[in-house]
Amino acid sequence: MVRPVAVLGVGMHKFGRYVEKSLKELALVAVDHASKDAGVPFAAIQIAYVGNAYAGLITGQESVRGQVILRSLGISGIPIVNVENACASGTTAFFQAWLAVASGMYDVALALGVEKLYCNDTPRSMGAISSSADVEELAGTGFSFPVDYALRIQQYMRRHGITQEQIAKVVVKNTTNGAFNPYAQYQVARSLEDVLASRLIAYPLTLLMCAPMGDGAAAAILCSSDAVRRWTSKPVVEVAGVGLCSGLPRSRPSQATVESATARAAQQAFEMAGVGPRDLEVVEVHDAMAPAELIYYEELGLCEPGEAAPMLERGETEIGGLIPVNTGGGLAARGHPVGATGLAQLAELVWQLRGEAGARQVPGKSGKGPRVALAQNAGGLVDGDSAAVFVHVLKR
Amino acid sequence: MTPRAQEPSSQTSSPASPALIGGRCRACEQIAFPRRLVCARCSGRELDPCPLNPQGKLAAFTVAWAAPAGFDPPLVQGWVDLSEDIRLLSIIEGVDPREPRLKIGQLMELVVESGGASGYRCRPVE
Repeated sequence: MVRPVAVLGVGMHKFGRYVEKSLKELALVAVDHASKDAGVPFAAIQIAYVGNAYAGLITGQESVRGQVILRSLGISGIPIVNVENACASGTTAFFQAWLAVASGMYDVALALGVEKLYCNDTPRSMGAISSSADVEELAGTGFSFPVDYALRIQQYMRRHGITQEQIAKVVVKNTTNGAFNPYAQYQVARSLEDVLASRLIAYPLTLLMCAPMGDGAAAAILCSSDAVRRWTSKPVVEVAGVGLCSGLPRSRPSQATVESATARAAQQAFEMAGVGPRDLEVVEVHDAMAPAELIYYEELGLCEPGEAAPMLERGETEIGGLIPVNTGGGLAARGHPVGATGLAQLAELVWQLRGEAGARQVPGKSGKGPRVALAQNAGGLVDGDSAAVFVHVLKR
Repeated sequence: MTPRAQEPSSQTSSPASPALIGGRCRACEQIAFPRRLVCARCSGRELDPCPLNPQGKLAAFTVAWAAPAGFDPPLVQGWVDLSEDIRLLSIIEGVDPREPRLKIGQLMELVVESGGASGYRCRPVE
């Protein structure tokens, strides 16, 4: 049995390039922000989960990252657990913090995601990201995530007659949203021409279709729902459903119809939350590369297979649309400091549910603000599927 | 440190034509590459070395203009499907990255590094 858990507060360090800032400095801003938002002082945090994917390769801090980082924030002595699930590290940390409180064993938990990915050496950063796949199996193949996404989306394009232009429209939407997000790495709306004319990475992917390399941090503080009013008078946002899984073997040609980790995790979260895709009022998906967003519309059940691009083109996933997706700019505009991304997705949803999203605010089905939100965060690649997918449903 | 395969994936019975070596499950006969410790289909523990078909069909390809350290872009890369129901990611040689004349479904052959290394590439069959 688990008890209801609320997200008391969230915070972020604006994503961007911070060569001169350390993981510790990035983390302090996010944890301070979450602490103030929650009304919870650092001393009240009883357990912390710290998500980070590549510090070992980028800064050399391969081990005890959480303890090292939090000690410099004056947090020590409490249980600190390091969490790594590639690009899903942030929501994995959030899930663990949820479970710690839901179990009844802890009352106040911190989930922090922090990453330094940009180091002015793109092959080095790309190499770090490429370690989120089976390095032994892929040694010598020149594997990189853009290539995997490119090959995968080409098959989707052929199956459903989708064009490169339709994929580019995902970036137009997300950068338009990002322009209204003060925490986004890029705050400039891009035109279709901009996106298509940007440097070709691996057809059909152009540079602007790929999430940028960057640094940042995001954090959330959770407590049991019945203790919320001890800390804050803000609207209560609860974790209504969680779904998580690893990918199933899917790389063989005969396995093309095996259900994806995203679809399976989403079903778990829907069932636990007692909602379906049609109940969602604001959604965050993992657009590490723009075409993935289209595939996720289908895998989350927002539309039928093959209908994702028409849905996008009808404006249904814009801020004013039927089901707004990636109101914060997505990974494309907000950025993708890998370990932090999942918590930035959740922060955006909390702001939306509380009515604090400013110019990005969605009206929700009632017109008085959304009450049901979903975040889908995917990480890594194993055997033709994401290594890990975590889906959370939040309710106000 | 350069990652190595779990065990040498290629062997040479004759150095002139090294083959990629997968693993065939004794219980269900599914072939995997690289050779697994446990069969993914039936959890069988006995997998025997099995040379793979040296040819396959091109399932998808792209030209990568950015690559991780140790590789020089542009790289032509693609998925090659072998008859053992195995899809390999491979660098494709012998193709001009600026004008890759490749077709989906085209026959490709494996070019395997000999001597126990794990390297392989593909090239179009002439």
